[in-house]
Amino acid sequence: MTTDNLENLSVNALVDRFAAIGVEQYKASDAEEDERYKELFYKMYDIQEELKRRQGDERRALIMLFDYPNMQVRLMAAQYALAVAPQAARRAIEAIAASTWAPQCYDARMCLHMLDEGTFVPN
Amino acid sequence: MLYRQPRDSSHAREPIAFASPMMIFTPQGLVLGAGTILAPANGARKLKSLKGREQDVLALLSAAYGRAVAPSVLNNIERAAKSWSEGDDFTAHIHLAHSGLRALDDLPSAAHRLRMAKGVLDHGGSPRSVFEALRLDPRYIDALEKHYNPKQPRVPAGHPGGGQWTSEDWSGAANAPGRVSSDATPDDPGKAGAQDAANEPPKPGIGHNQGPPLEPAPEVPKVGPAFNTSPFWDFTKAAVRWLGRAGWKPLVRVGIRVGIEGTVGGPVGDFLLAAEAAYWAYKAYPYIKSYFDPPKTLEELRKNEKPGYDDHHIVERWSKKDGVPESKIESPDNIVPIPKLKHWEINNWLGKPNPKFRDENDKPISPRDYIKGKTWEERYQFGLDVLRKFGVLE
Repeated sequence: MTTDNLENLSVNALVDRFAAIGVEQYKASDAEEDERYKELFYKMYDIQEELKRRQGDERRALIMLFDYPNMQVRLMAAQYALAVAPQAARRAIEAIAASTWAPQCYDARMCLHMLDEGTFVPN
Repeated sequence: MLYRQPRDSSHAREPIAFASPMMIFTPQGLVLGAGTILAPANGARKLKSLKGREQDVLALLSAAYGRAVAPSVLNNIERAAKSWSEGDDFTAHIHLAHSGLRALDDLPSAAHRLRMAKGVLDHGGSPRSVFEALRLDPRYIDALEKHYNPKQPRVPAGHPGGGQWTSEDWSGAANAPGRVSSDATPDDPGKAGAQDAANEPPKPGIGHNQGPPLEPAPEVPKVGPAFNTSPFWDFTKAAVRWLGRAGWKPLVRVGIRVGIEGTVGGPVGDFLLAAEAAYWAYKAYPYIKSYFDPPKTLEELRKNEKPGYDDHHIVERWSKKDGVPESKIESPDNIVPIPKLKHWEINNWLGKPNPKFRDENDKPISPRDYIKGKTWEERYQFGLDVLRKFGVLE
Protein backbone atom coordinates (compact mmCIF):
# COMPACT_ATOMS: atom_id res chain seq x y z
CA MET A 1 0.00 0.00 0.00
CA THR A 2 1.49 3.32 -0.98
CA THR A 3 0.43 6.90 -0.59
CA ASP A 4 2.49 8.02 -3.57
CA ASN A 5 0.72 9.88 -6.35
CA LEU A 6 -2.50 10.28 -4.46
CA GLU A 7 -3.41 13.15 -6.75
CA ASN A 8 -3.74 10.68 -9.61
CA LEU A 9 -6.32 8.56 -7.86
CA SER A 10 -10.07 8.95 -8.25
CA VAL A 11 -12.20 9.80 -5.24
CA ASN A 12 -13.51 6.25 -5.12
CA ALA A 13 -10.01 4.85 -5.22
CA LEU A 14 -9.00 7.17 -2.38
CA VAL A 15 -11.97 6.04 -0.33
CA ASP A 16 -11.10 2.39 -0.99
CA ARG A 17 -7.55 3.02 0.11
CA PHE A 18 -8.76 4.89 3.18
CA ALA A 19 -10.84 1.84 4.15
CA ALA A 20 -8.01 -0.61 3.52
CA ILE A 21 -5.69 1.43 5.71
CA GLY A 22 -8.37 1.60 8.39
CA VAL A 23 -8.62 -2.18 8.47
CA GLU A 24 -4.85 -2.42 8.91
CA GLN A 25 -5.00 0.22 11.64
CA TYR A 26 -7.58 -1.88 13.44
CA LYS A 27 -5.30 -4.90 13.35
CA ALA A 28 -2.28 -2.90 14.44
CA SER A 29 -4.26 -1.38 17.29
CA ASP A 30 -5.44 -4.77 18.56
CA ALA A 31 -1.92 -6.15 18.26
CA GLU A 32 -0.53 -3.06 20.01
CA GLU A 33 1.89 -2.48 17.15
CA ASP A 34 2.30 1.19 17.91
CA GLU A 35 4.81 2.11 15.22
CA ARG A 36 2.79 0.31 12.58
CA TYR A 37 -0.34 2.10 13.76
CA LYS A 38 1.39 5.47 13.61
CA GLU A 39 2.63 4.83 10.09
CA LEU A 40 -0.86 3.82 8.96
CA PHE A 41 -2.41 6.75 10.75
CA TYR A 42 -0.40 9.28 8.77
CA LYS A 43 -1.03 7.42 5.52
CA MET A 44 -4.72 7.78 6.18
CA TYR A 45 -4.24 11.42 7.12
CA ASP A 46 -2.58 12.05 3.75
CA ILE A 47 -5.56 10.52 1.97
CA GLN A 48 -8.07 12.68 3.77
CA GLU A 49 -5.88 15.70 3.03
CA GLU A 50 -5.99 14.78 -0.65
CA LEU A 51 -9.79 14.44 -0.49
CA LYS A 52 -10.00 17.77 1.29
CA ARG A 53 -7.86 19.39 -1.38
CA ARG A 54 -10.19 18.29 -4.17
CA GLN A 55 -12.71 20.81 -5.45
CA GLY A 56 -15.74 20.97 -3.19
CA ASP A 57 -13.93 19.04 -0.47
CA GLU A 58 -14.44 15.42 -1.35
CA ARG A 59 -14.18 14.23 2.25
CA ARG A 60 -17.95 13.95 2.01
CA ALA A 61 -17.29 10.75 0.06
CA LEU A 62 -16.21 9.22 3.35
CA ILE A 63 -19.88 9.07 4.28
CA MET A 64 -20.06 5.84 2.33
CA LEU A 65 -17.81 4.28 4.96
CA PHE A 66 -20.08 5.03 7.91
CA ASP A 67 -21.52 1.51 7.71
CA TYR A 68 -18.28 -0.20 6.77
CA PRO A 69 -17.89 -3.59 8.45
CA ASN A 70 -14.91 -2.44 10.50
CA MET A 71 -15.25 -0.15 13.48
CA GLN A 72 -11.94 1.66 13.01
CA VAL A 73 -12.84 2.52 9.43
CA ARG A 74 -16.23 3.83 10.53
CA LEU A 75 -14.73 5.92 13.31
CA MET A 76 -11.95 7.49 11.28
CA ALA A 77 -14.24 8.18 8.31
CA ALA A 78 -16.76 9.87 10.57
CA GLN A 79 -14.15 12.00 12.34
CA TYR A 80 -12.60 13.19 9.10
CA ALA A 81 -16.02 13.88 7.59
CA LEU A 82 -17.21 16.01 10.49
CA ALA A 83 -16.20 19.24 8.78
CA VAL A 84 -18.22 18.55 5.64
CA ALA A 85 -21.11 16.39 6.86
CA PRO A 86 -21.42 17.31 10.53
CA GLN A 87 -24.82 15.83 11.24
CA ALA A 88 -24.34 12.48 9.52
CA ALA A 89 -20.83 12.16 10.88
CA ARG A 90 -21.94 12.97 14.39
CA ARG A 91 -24.68 10.37 14.20
CA ALA A 92 -22.12 7.79 13.10
CA ILE A 93 -19.83 8.74 15.99
CA GLU A 94 -22.74 8.63 18.43
CA ALA A 95 -23.56 5.10 17.31
CA ILE A 96 -19.97 4.01 17.91
CA ALA A 97 -19.91 5.76 21.27
CA ALA A 98 -23.08 3.96 22.30
CA SER A 99 -21.57 0.59 21.44
CA THR A 100 -19.21 -1.48 23.54
CA TRP A 101 -16.73 -1.92 20.73
CA ALA A 102 -13.42 -1.03 22.36
CA PRO A 103 -11.26 0.88 21.95
CA GLN A 104 -13.20 2.71 19.24
CA CYS A 105 -16.19 3.38 21.49
CA TYR A 106 -14.00 5.23 24.01
CA ASP A 107 -12.40 7.38 21.34
CA ALA A 108 -15.85 8.18 19.95
CA ARG A 109 -17.00 9.26 23.42
CA MET A 110 -13.99 11.54 23.74
CA CYS A 111 -14.75 12.93 20.30
CA LEU A 112 -18.32 13.85 21.25
CA HIS A 113 -17.13 15.37 24.51
CA MET A 114 -14.53 17.51 22.75
CA LEU A 115 -17.00 18.60 20.08
CA ASP A 116 -19.49 19.63 22.73
CA GLU A 117 -16.98 21.54 24.80
CA GLY A 118 -15.42 23.12 21.73
CA THR A 119 -11.91 21.76 22.14
CA PHE A 120 -12.24 19.89 18.86
CA VAL A 121 -13.34 22.06 15.97
CA PRO A 122 -13.29 20.02 12.76
CA ASN A 123 -11.85 21.88 9.78
CA MET B 1 -54.02 -24.36 27.08
CA LEU B 2 -51.58 -22.47 29.21
CA TYR B 3 -51.39 -19.50 26.94
CA ARG B 4 -55.15 -19.11 26.93
CA GLN B 5 -55.56 -18.78 30.65
CA PRO B 6 -56.94 -15.41 31.69
CA ARG B 7 -54.41 -12.94 32.95
CA ASP B 8 -56.23 -12.55 36.21
CA SER B 9 -53.70 -13.80 38.70
CA SER B 10 -51.97 -11.42 41.00
CA HIS B 11 -48.74 -12.22 39.22
CA ALA B 12 -50.15 -11.19 35.88
CA ARG B 13 -51.03 -7.81 37.31
CA GLU B 14 -47.71 -7.18 38.99
CA PRO B 15 -45.81 -4.30 37.49
CA ILE B 16 -42.84 -5.43 35.48
CA ALA B 17 -39.74 -4.16 37.25
CA PHE B 18 -37.41 -5.29 34.52
CA ALA B 19 -37.15 -7.96 31.91
CA SER B 20 -34.30 -10.36 31.43
CA PRO B 21 -34.00 -12.85 28.59
CA MET B 22 -31.64 -14.93 30.72
CA MET B 23 -31.56 -16.26 34.25
CA ILE B 24 -30.09 -13.71 36.62
CA PHE B 25 -29.58 -13.45 40.34
CA THR B 26 -31.37 -10.65 42.13
CA PRO B 27 -31.95 -9.94 45.81
CA GLN B 28 -35.26 -11.73 45.35
CA GLY B 29 -33.66 -14.87 43.96
CA LEU B 30 -33.05 -16.40 40.57
CA VAL B 31 -35.16 -14.52 38.08
CA LEU B 32 -36.11 -14.89 34.44
CA GLY B 33 -38.35 -13.00 32.05
CA ALA B 34 -40.48 -10.21 33.48
CA GLY B 35 -39.22 -10.58 37.01
CA THR B 36 -40.55 -14.10 37.55
CA ILE B 37 -38.77 -15.76 40.43
CA LEU B 38 -37.62 -19.27 39.51
CA ALA B 39 -36.03 -19.91 42.88
CA PRO B 40 -36.46 -17.44 45.73
CA ALA B 41 -33.74 -16.12 47.98
CA ASN B 42 -34.10 -16.49 51.70
CA GLY B 43 -31.35 -14.18 52.74
CA ALA B 44 -28.67 -11.98 51.28
CA ARG B 45 -27.12 -13.91 48.40
CA LYS B 46 -28.68 -17.11 49.66
CA LEU B 47 -30.90 -19.11 47.36
CA LYS B 48 -33.51 -21.46 48.77
CA SER B 49 -32.71 -25.06 48.06
CA LEU B 50 -34.22 -26.53 44.93
CA LYS B 51 -34.73 -29.80 46.75
CA GLY B 52 -38.35 -30.80 46.44
CA ARG B 53 -38.98 -28.06 43.92
CA GLU B 54 -37.02 -29.45 41.00
CA GLN B 55 -40.12 -30.06 38.91
CA ASP B 56 -41.41 -26.57 39.59
CA VAL B 57 -38.19 -25.02 38.34
CA LEU B 58 -38.12 -27.28 35.29
CA ALA B 59 -41.77 -26.50 34.60
CA LEU B 60 -41.07 -22.79 34.75
CA LEU B 61 -38.02 -23.04 32.53
CA SER B 62 -39.88 -25.26 30.08
CA ALA B 63 -42.69 -22.72 29.98
CA ALA B 64 -40.27 -19.91 29.28
CA TYR B 65 -38.42 -21.78 26.56
CA GLY B 66 -41.52 -23.50 25.19
CA ARG B 67 -39.86 -26.90 25.25
CA ALA B 68 -38.52 -29.55 27.58
CA VAL B 69 -35.54 -28.32 29.54
CA ALA B 70 -32.89 -30.78 30.62
CA PRO B 71 -32.83 -31.53 34.35
CA SER B 72 -29.08 -31.10 34.22
CA VAL B 73 -29.83 -27.37 34.32
CA LEU B 74 -30.54 -27.81 38.02
CA ASN B 75 -26.91 -28.71 38.57
CA ASN B 76 -25.82 -25.55 36.82
CA ILE B 77 -28.17 -23.49 38.94
CA GLU B 78 -26.81 -25.12 42.08
CA ARG B 79 -23.25 -24.31 41.14
CA ALA B 80 -24.19 -20.79 40.13
CA ALA B 81 -26.01 -20.28 43.43
CA LYS B 82 -22.95 -21.43 45.31
CA SER B 83 -20.73 -18.93 43.48
CA TRP B 84 -23.34 -16.23 43.95
CA SER B 85 -23.48 -16.94 47.67
CA GLU B 86 -19.72 -16.48 47.78
CA GLY B 87 -19.99 -13.11 46.07
CA ASP B 88 -18.47 -14.38 42.84
CA ASP B 89 -20.94 -13.07 40.26
CA PHE B 90 -18.54 -13.73 37.44
CA THR B 91 -18.30 -17.47 38.07
CA ALA B 92 -22.02 -17.61 38.80
CA HIS B 93 -22.61 -16.17 35.37
CA ILE B 94 -20.37 -18.79 33.81
CA HIS B 95 -22.27 -21.60 35.52
CA LEU B 96 -25.55 -20.20 34.24
CA ALA B 97 -24.01 -19.98 30.78
CA HIS B 98 -23.02 -23.61 31.15
CA SER B 99 -26.69 -24.56 31.38
CA GLY B 100 -26.91 -24.12 27.64
CA LEU B 101 -30.05 -22.05 28.03
CA ARG B 102 -29.60 -19.11 25.78
CA ALA B 103 -31.37 -15.79 25.73
CA LEU B 104 -35.11 -16.11 25.24
CA ASP B 105 -35.90 -15.44 21.60
CA ASP B 106 -39.27 -13.77 21.99
CA LEU B 107 -39.04 -12.18 25.40
CA PRO B 108 -42.60 -10.78 25.71
CA SER B 109 -44.21 -14.10 24.80
CA ALA B 110 -41.78 -16.14 26.85
CA ALA B 111 -42.17 -13.86 29.85
CA HIS B 112 -45.94 -14.13 29.58
CA ARG B 113 -45.85 -17.94 29.42
CA LEU B 114 -43.53 -17.96 32.38
CA ARG B 115 -45.75 -15.75 34.50
CA MET B 116 -48.78 -17.85 33.66
CA ALA B 117 -46.94 -21.00 34.65
CA LYS B 118 -45.82 -19.39 37.89
CA GLY B 119 -49.41 -18.39 38.59
CA VAL B 120 -50.53 -21.99 38.07
CA LEU B 121 -47.91 -23.34 40.48
CA ASP B 122 -48.46 -20.66 43.10
CA HIS B 123 -52.16 -21.46 43.15
CA GLY B 124 -51.66 -25.14 43.79
CA GLY B 125 -51.37 -26.37 40.23
CA SER B 126 -48.95 -29.16 39.54
CA PRO B 127 -45.87 -29.05 37.38
CA ARG B 128 -47.56 -31.78 35.33
CA SER B 129 -50.35 -29.38 34.38
CA VAL B 130 -47.74 -26.96 33.11
CA PHE B 131 -45.86 -29.66 31.22
CA GLU B 132 -49.08 -30.91 29.70
CA ALA B 133 -50.12 -27.44 28.68
CA LEU B 134 -46.81 -27.19 26.90
CA ARG B 135 -47.54 -30.53 25.20
CA LEU B 136 -44.28 -32.02 26.32
CA ASP B 137 -43.52 -35.69 25.81
CA PRO B 138 -45.44 -37.67 28.49
CA ARG B 139 -42.39 -39.87 28.98
CA TYR B 140 -40.41 -36.82 30.03
CA ILE B 141 -43.10 -35.84 32.52
CA ASP B 142 -43.44 -39.36 33.92
CA ALA B 143 -39.71 -39.73 34.33
CA LEU B 144 -39.43 -36.40 36.08
CA GLU B 145 -42.17 -37.26 38.53
CA LYS B 146 -40.59 -40.60 39.26
CA HIS B 147 -37.18 -39.12 39.75
CA TYR B 148 -38.17 -36.18 41.87
CA ASN B 149 -40.61 -37.92 44.20
CA PRO B 150 -43.82 -35.99 43.65
CA LYS B 151 -45.49 -37.54 46.68
CA GLN B 152 -43.53 -35.31 48.94
CA PRO B 153 -46.03 -33.03 50.77
CA ARG B 154 -46.79 -29.70 49.19
CA VAL B 155 -47.88 -26.47 50.81
CA PRO B 156 -51.61 -26.02 50.23
CA ALA B 157 -52.87 -23.36 47.88
CA GLY B 158 -53.60 -20.05 49.57
CA HIS B 159 -50.63 -20.31 51.88
CA PRO B 160 -47.27 -18.66 51.36
CA GLY B 161 -45.36 -20.80 48.95
CA GLY B 162 -48.56 -22.61 48.02
CA GLY B 163 -48.12 -25.46 45.60
CA GLN B 164 -44.48 -25.94 46.48
CA TRP B 165 -42.77 -28.83 48.09
CA THR B 166 -40.84 -28.37 51.30
CA SER B 167 -37.66 -26.45 51.05
CA GLU B 168 -34.53 -25.83 53.01
CA ASP B 169 -31.73 -23.36 53.02
CA TRP B 170 -29.29 -23.63 50.19
CA SER B 171 -26.29 -22.85 52.35
CA GLY B 172 -24.02 -23.06 49.39
CA ALA B 173 -23.82 -26.83 49.11
CA ALA B 174 -23.44 -27.88 45.51
CA ASN B 175 -23.67 -31.64 45.88
CA ALA B 176 -26.51 -32.36 48.22
CA PRO B 177 -27.67 -35.99 48.26
CA GLY B 178 -30.14 -36.95 45.62
CA ARG B 179 -29.02 -34.34 43.17
CA VAL B 180 -28.87 -35.07 39.51
CA SER B 181 -25.70 -36.60 38.29
CA SER B 182 -23.61 -35.58 35.37
CA ASP B 183 -23.82 -38.95 33.62
CA ALA B 184 -25.83 -38.86 30.47
CA THR B 185 -28.41 -41.50 29.66
CA PRO B 186 -31.45 -40.73 27.59
CA ASP B 187 -33.75 -42.80 29.78
CA ASP B 188 -33.17 -40.96 32.97
CA PRO B 189 -34.17 -37.31 32.94
CA GLY B 190 -32.31 -36.82 36.16
CA LYS B 191 -29.10 -37.19 34.30
CA ALA B 192 -27.56 -34.67 32.02
CA GLY B 193 -27.93 -35.45 28.38
CA ALA B 194 -31.45 -36.82 28.57
CA GLN B 195 -32.83 -33.61 27.21
CA ASP B 196 -29.67 -31.83 26.28
CA ALA B 197 -30.74 -31.85 22.68
CA ALA B 198 -33.76 -29.83 23.73
CA ASN B 199 -31.41 -27.21 25.09
CA GLU B 200 -29.49 -26.92 21.87
CA PRO B 201 -30.38 -23.42 20.85
CA PRO B 202 -30.47 -22.10 17.35
CA LYS B 203 -27.16 -20.65 16.35
CA PRO B 204 -27.56 -16.94 17.01
CA GLY B 205 -26.39 -14.39 14.55
CA ILE B 206 -23.33 -12.59 15.72
CA GLY B 207 -22.28 -9.08 15.13
CA HIS B 208 -25.12 -7.67 17.21
CA ASN B 209 -24.28 -4.64 19.33
CA GLN B 210 -24.96 -2.60 16.16
CA GLY B 211 -21.40 -3.16 15.13
CA PRO B 212 -19.47 -4.94 12.45
CA PRO B 213 -19.42 -8.72 12.39
CA LEU B 214 -17.84 -10.16 15.47
CA GLU B 215 -14.46 -11.79 15.03
CA PRO B 216 -13.94 -15.36 16.21
CA ALA B 217 -13.40 -15.67 19.94
CA PRO B 218 -9.83 -15.77 21.18
CA GLU B 219 -8.52 -19.29 21.37
CA VAL B 220 -8.24 -20.60 24.91
CA PRO B 221 -5.12 -22.78 25.11
CA LYS B 222 -5.65 -25.95 27.12
CA VAL B 223 -2.18 -25.54 28.56
CA GLY B 224 -2.08 -21.93 29.49
CA PRO B 225 0.75 -19.45 29.57
CA ALA B 226 2.37 -18.72 32.90
CA PHE B 227 0.80 -15.98 34.94
CA ASN B 228 2.03 -12.45 34.30
CA THR B 229 3.80 -13.29 31.06
CA SER B 230 3.20 -11.53 27.75
CA PRO B 231 1.15 -14.43 26.34
CA PHE B 232 -0.98 -14.42 29.48
CA TRP B 233 -1.74 -10.72 29.13
CA ASP B 234 -2.24 -11.04 25.38
CA PHE B 235 -4.94 -13.61 26.05
CA THR B 236 -6.53 -11.57 28.82
CA LYS B 237 -6.62 -8.40 26.75
CA ALA B 238 -8.02 -10.22 23.75
CA ALA B 239 -10.66 -11.80 25.97
CA VAL B 240 -11.99 -8.52 27.38
CA ARG B 241 -11.86 -6.86 23.99
CA TRP B 242 -13.79 -9.67 22.40
CA LEU B 243 -16.33 -10.00 25.21
CA GLY B 244 -16.93 -6.26 25.13
CA ARG B 245 -17.40 -6.27 21.38
CA ALA B 246 -19.84 -9.13 21.74
CA GLY B 247 -21.85 -6.89 24.04
CA TRP B 248 -21.31 -9.08 27.07
CA LYS B 249 -21.54 -7.66 30.53
CA PRO B 250 -21.42 -9.46 33.83
CA LEU B 251 -24.18 -8.92 36.34
CA VAL B 252 -24.60 -5.24 36.94
CA ARG B 253 -26.31 -4.08 40.06
CA VAL B 254 -28.08 -0.75 39.96
CA GLY B 255 -29.80 -0.10 43.25
CA ILE B 256 -32.28 -2.89 43.81
CA ARG B 257 -32.49 -3.53 40.12
CA VAL B 258 -30.20 -6.10 38.66
CA GLY B 259 -29.85 -6.23 34.95
CA ILE B 260 -27.75 -8.21 32.56
CA GLU B 261 -26.98 -7.63 28.97
CA GLY B 262 -25.45 -9.72 26.28
CA THR B 263 -25.95 -13.40 25.76
CA VAL B 264 -24.99 -16.35 27.87
CA GLY B 265 -25.24 -18.64 24.90
CA GLY B 266 -23.88 -18.43 21.40
CA PRO B 267 -20.23 -17.67 20.91
CA VAL B 268 -19.99 -15.82 24.22
CA GLY B 269 -21.27 -18.79 26.16
CA ASP B 270 -18.96 -21.09 24.22
CA PHE B 271 -15.99 -18.88 25.00
CA LEU B 272 -16.83 -18.64 28.69
CA LEU B 273 -17.16 -22.40 28.86
CA ALA B 274 -13.83 -22.88 27.17
CA ALA B 275 -12.26 -20.45 29.62
CA GLU B 276 -13.87 -22.30 32.50
CA ALA B 277 -12.59 -25.62 31.22
CA ALA B 278 -9.04 -24.28 30.99
CA TYR B 279 -8.29 -24.06 34.66
CA TRP B 280 -5.32 -21.75 34.19
CA ALA B 281 -7.66 -19.07 32.86
CA TYR B 282 -9.04 -18.55 36.36
CA LYS B 283 -6.02 -16.38 37.00
CA ALA B 284 -7.24 -14.03 34.30
CA TYR B 285 -10.71 -13.67 35.83
CA PRO B 286 -9.97 -10.83 38.28
CA TYR B 287 -8.65 -8.76 35.38
CA ILE B 288 -11.51 -9.64 33.07
CA LYS B 289 -14.02 -9.01 35.81
CA SER B 290 -12.60 -5.63 36.82
CA TYR B 291 -12.56 -4.49 33.20
CA PHE B 292 -16.34 -4.72 33.17
CA ASP B 293 -16.81 -2.77 36.39
CA PRO B 294 -19.49 -0.11 36.09
CA PRO B 295 -18.31 3.49 36.36
CA LYS B 296 -17.59 4.47 39.95
CA THR B 297 -17.00 7.65 41.90
CA LEU B 298 -13.45 8.55 42.87
CA GLU B 299 -14.23 7.47 46.42
CA GLU B 300 -15.47 4.10 45.22
CA LEU B 301 -12.50 3.65 42.91
CA ARG B 302 -10.14 4.26 45.82
CA LYS B 303 -11.62 1.19 47.50
CA ASN B 304 -10.50 -1.03 44.59
CA GLU B 305 -8.01 -3.64 45.70
CA LYS B 306 -5.62 -5.85 43.82
CA PRO B 307 -5.69 -8.09 41.95
CA GLY B 308 -7.40 -6.61 38.96
CA TYR B 309 -6.51 -2.98 39.57
CA ASP B 310 -3.52 -0.72 38.96
CA ASP B 311 -2.70 2.66 40.45
CA HIS B 312 -3.43 5.23 37.79
CA HIS B 313 -2.06 8.76 37.84
CA ILE B 314 -4.75 11.18 36.68
CA VAL B 315 -1.96 13.56 35.66
CA GLU B 316 0.58 11.16 34.23
CA ARG B 317 3.94 10.59 35.84
CA TRP B 318 5.93 11.76 32.84
CA SER B 319 4.54 15.24 33.50
CA LYS B 320 7.36 15.85 35.98
CA LYS B 321 9.61 16.13 32.94
CA ASP B 322 7.22 18.80 31.72
CA GLY B 323 7.59 20.98 34.78
CA VAL B 324 4.83 19.57 36.98
CA PRO B 325 5.98 19.20 40.61
CA GLU B 326 6.46 15.57 41.64
CA SER B 327 4.70 16.29 44.93
CA LYS B 328 1.50 16.99 43.00
CA ILE B 329 1.87 14.00 40.72
CA GLU B 330 2.41 11.63 43.62
CA SER B 331 -0.24 13.18 45.85
CA PRO B 332 -3.10 10.85 46.89
CA ASP B 333 -5.61 13.03 45.06
CA ASN B 334 -3.86 12.26 41.79
CA ILE B 335 -3.67 8.49 42.22
CA VAL B 336 -6.61 6.17 41.83
CA PRO B 337 -6.78 2.38 41.44
CA ILE B 338 -8.56 1.52 38.20
CA PRO B 339 -9.08 -1.76 36.32
CA LYS B 340 -5.69 -2.88 35.09
CA LEU B 341 -6.76 -3.53 31.54
CA LYS B 342 -8.55 -0.17 31.32
CA HIS B 343 -5.35 1.39 32.61
CA TRP B 344 -3.45 -0.16 29.73
CA GLU B 345 -6.14 0.79 27.25
CA ILE B 346 -6.00 4.43 28.36
CA ASN B 347 -2.21 4.48 28.16
CA ASN B 348 -2.39 3.07 24.69
CA TRP B 349 -4.92 5.66 23.57
CA LEU B 350 -2.94 8.54 25.08
CA GLY B 351 0.12 7.63 23.04
CA LYS B 352 -1.44 7.29 19.61
CA PRO B 353 -1.87 10.10 17.09
CA ASN B 354 -5.47 11.19 16.94
CA PRO B 355 -7.38 13.44 14.50
CA LYS B 356 -8.88 15.44 17.36
CA PHE B 357 -5.56 16.62 18.74
CA ARG B 358 -3.50 18.97 16.56
CA ASP B 359 -0.18 20.74 16.81
CA GLU B 360 0.50 24.34 15.81
CA ASN B 361 0.72 23.23 12.18
CA ASP B 362 -2.68 21.54 12.40
CA LYS B 363 -1.14 18.12 12.11
CA PRO B 364 -2.59 15.34 14.29
CA ILE B 365 -0.66 14.46 17.41
CA SER B 366 -1.28 12.18 20.36
CA PRO B 367 -3.35 13.27 23.36
CA ARG B 368 -0.17 12.93 25.42
CA ASP B 369 1.62 15.43 23.18
CA TYR B 370 -1.43 17.68 23.20
CA ILE B 371 -1.47 17.97 26.98
CA LYS B 372 2.19 19.04 27.17
CA GLY B 373 2.64 22.54 28.52
CA LYS B 374 -0.87 22.73 29.94
CA THR B 375 -1.60 23.87 33.50
CA TRP B 376 -2.10 21.42 36.36
CA GLU B 377 -5.82 22.15 36.36
CA GLU B 378 -6.13 21.52 32.64
CA ARG B 379 -4.18 18.29 32.89
CA TYR B 380 -6.19 17.09 35.88
CA GLN B 381 -9.52 17.90 34.23
CA PHE B 382 -8.38 16.17 31.06
CA GLY B 383 -7.39 13.10 33.07
CA LEU B 384 -10.82 12.98 34.69
CA ASP B 385 -12.53 13.38 31.30
CA VAL B 386 -10.56 10.45 29.94
CA LEU B 387 -11.51 8.27 32.90
CA ARG B 388 -15.16 9.15 32.36
CA LYS B 389 -15.15 8.45 28.64
CA PHE B 390 -13.43 5.13 29.19
CA GLY B 391 -16.22 4.13 31.54
CA VAL B 392 -14.09 4.12 34.68
CA LEU B 393 -15.33 7.24 36.46
CA GLU B 394 -18.94 8.21 36.96
